[in-house]
Amino acid sequence: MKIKLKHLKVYTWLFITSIMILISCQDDDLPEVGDLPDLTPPSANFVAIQKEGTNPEEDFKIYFLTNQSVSSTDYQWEIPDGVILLDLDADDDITPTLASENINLEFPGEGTFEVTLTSSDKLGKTSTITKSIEVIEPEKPDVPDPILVNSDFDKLPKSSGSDCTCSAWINKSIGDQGESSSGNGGSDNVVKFDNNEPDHLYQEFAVVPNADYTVEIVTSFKSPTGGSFPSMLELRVLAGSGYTSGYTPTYYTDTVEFPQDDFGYSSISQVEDTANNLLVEIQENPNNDDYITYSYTFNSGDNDSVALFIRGIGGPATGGGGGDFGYNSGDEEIRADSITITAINL
Amino acid sequence: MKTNFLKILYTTAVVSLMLTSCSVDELTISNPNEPDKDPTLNDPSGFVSILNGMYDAYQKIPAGEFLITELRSDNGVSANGDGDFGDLESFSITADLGEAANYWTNNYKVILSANIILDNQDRIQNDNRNQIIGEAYFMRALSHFNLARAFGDVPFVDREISPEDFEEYPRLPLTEVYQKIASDFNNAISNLEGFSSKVNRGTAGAAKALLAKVYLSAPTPDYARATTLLNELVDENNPYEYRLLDSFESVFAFDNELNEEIIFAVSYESLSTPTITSDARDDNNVQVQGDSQRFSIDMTAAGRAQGVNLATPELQALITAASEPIRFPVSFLESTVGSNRVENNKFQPDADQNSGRDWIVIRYSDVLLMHAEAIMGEFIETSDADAIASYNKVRERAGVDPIANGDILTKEALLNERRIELAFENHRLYDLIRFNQAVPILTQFSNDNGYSFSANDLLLPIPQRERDVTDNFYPQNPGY
Repeated sequence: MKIKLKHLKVYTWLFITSIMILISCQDDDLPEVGDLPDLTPPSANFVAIQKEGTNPEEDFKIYFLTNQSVSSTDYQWEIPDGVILLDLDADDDITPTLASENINLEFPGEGTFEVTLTSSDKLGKTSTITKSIEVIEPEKPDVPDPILVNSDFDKLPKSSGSDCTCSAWINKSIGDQGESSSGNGGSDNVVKFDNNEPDHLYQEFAVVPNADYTVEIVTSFKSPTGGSFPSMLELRVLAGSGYTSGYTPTYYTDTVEFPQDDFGYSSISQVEDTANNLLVEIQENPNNDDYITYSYTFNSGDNDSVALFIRGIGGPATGGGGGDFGYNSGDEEIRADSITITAINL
Repeated sequence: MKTNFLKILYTTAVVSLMLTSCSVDELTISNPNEPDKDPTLNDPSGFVSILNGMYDAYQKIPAGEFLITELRSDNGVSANGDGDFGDLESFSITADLGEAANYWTNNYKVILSANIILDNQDRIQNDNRNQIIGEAYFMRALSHFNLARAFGDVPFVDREISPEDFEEYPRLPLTEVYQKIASDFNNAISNLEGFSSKVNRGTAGAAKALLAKVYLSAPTPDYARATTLLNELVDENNPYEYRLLDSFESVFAFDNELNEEIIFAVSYESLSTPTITSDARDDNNVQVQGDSQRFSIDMTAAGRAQGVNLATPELQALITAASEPIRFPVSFLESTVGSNRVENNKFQPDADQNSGRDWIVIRYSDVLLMHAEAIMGEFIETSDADAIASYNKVRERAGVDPIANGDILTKEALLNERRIELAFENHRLYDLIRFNQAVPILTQFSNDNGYSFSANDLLLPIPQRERDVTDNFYPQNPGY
């Protein structure tokens, strides 16, 4: 027993000395011979990807920030005031924080925002990166120009009857067809609204809802005769919402395909219903028989289809030289050379 | 005796020195087991064999492709989430993912065969020399396209190389990879035009369809070129006689493989003996045409992990018996509908372990929908009549409402239509990426399911073993 006790003293002394040696090493911050450098310190990096969704006016503010740090285990994000940390988790079993590896942000609007990511490893080494995120609302796609057929009023074949500059522009329910004529430096290149007749043009075309469009029409009036019924030209853009119930427009591409009746508008009362009119413009005789360009604008409203309707007015309601539609042109002939509709893209 | 002994010792020493001095050269002699390619390259049938070997190598690719595409999308899950399958579906994969390494290796093996042909094209004596060259360009382009979509920047290998040549082929910026892929497909088109063959080989029509997809997928998409290529293919009188079959079901019918809707497919035959499948991982058996496959069985309860590529609840909600009367029964196996493991019905095995069901790489519906996509271009909607007509053909065949005259086609509707029409055909992930919707949609999907998706998961890791053997010559993708 004595021997053992003696040994115990020696062991105890050795043990305490060893602990002290070990402890004395631990406080040493300075690298010593044999210490290994941290060969893989953290390197912070991230990418920010803008949401391109189905709701462009709101989605552009949302960014997905993806961590691309190397040799890192812990993360800390810094975001500017007013920027919201999004919680996209529907059932709430993950709550994102500014210490999450990846975060999703909603910015208040357009502008430049600085986001900082600090990545660290378990040795306490850190790496920081700051990136400026420029939030820009994407440009809206251009609204395409509508397609009109025979907008130059060339003398082309119809589905029935002889060739006419009015091909593709006939709706027999609401007027008589225009007539082929010449003018403005060509032949068979303009359409004529005869005096004292219910001549018209009608065509349906596709539009983008809630978009603005410009209508340009080139017309010429014969010199005033001085009578009591001066001719005027009326131009209307009619809403697709006013089409005869159950009617679906077909957009033909060739003048021979166009029917001449049974369109979306089938009566003058339908045409003159204020609720159906997106634009009504009336040209009076400029007392000058030059071809003059008139320009108007309209908004398509909720419609994806509209109709253009143009007629000569100014004459007595009945007793004219053609069919009985409740309107007639006045004393002078009017000619139209072309019509153009373009989308207004700001 | 003493003298003799010394002489022998001396002679032995000298001989030993001579032998030792020779051994330096022995280090540089060629591998005696290296096959001599000359006899093959001098024989017209040799090129046919190399070409068949190239297609044979490609037969392995569909084996794992659905795992790295559908499981990484919001379409597919595995039955029990085991191992690699669970990692793939929950976006938790690591650099040592076996399926990533398989996909890398299998595609570069196809490229190797193609390069042997292209390196030696001056020696081709066959009557159909251009066809052989064209098919080699075709497959080299397709495999690089697979790699670029899976890994991002990848080495574009344009000659037969040895392991020590790897430093000549670094990871190339994606834009350059896409330019080279497009160049190869263009070479394929010019060499293959005028030749006809079954659609399980490279053809000019298939090269055009895939090139259009390359243009749409490139970092800077070329919508104009894609539209030009697709305009020819969507024409009802297209020279390749592709068309939409009247019946959606018959596109996938086992007795109707390589039909007129199929543009390029990988063919298999069901075999009971020998029991090798072309996608068996470790076999060194010579692979022949007519291999069977086992991905079909893997998609059933009898497969690995009790079935992989099962429909997610999200996909089931999108394709219902009420909303999709025609595509629902073809997409989902009726006997599994309503259970917690809904199998796909497009690639059910025709034989237990060794299915002969072909893998469809690209078909005509995809071309029609790409046509609408190319016309829509960078916009989020289109009112273009041609785009809507192509989209409507796919809708009408499926018995669902087309877009009415005068209405617009949105990008969202187009992406959804692709998801329904092409479900389980390995398109979803790359569609999401191409439409710039992968991050928002998969972030939401991942959050809803407790997965850990980030944008880094859109690229696979460069296989760790490739980095190990090259001393990390290939930089790793972010996040791995």
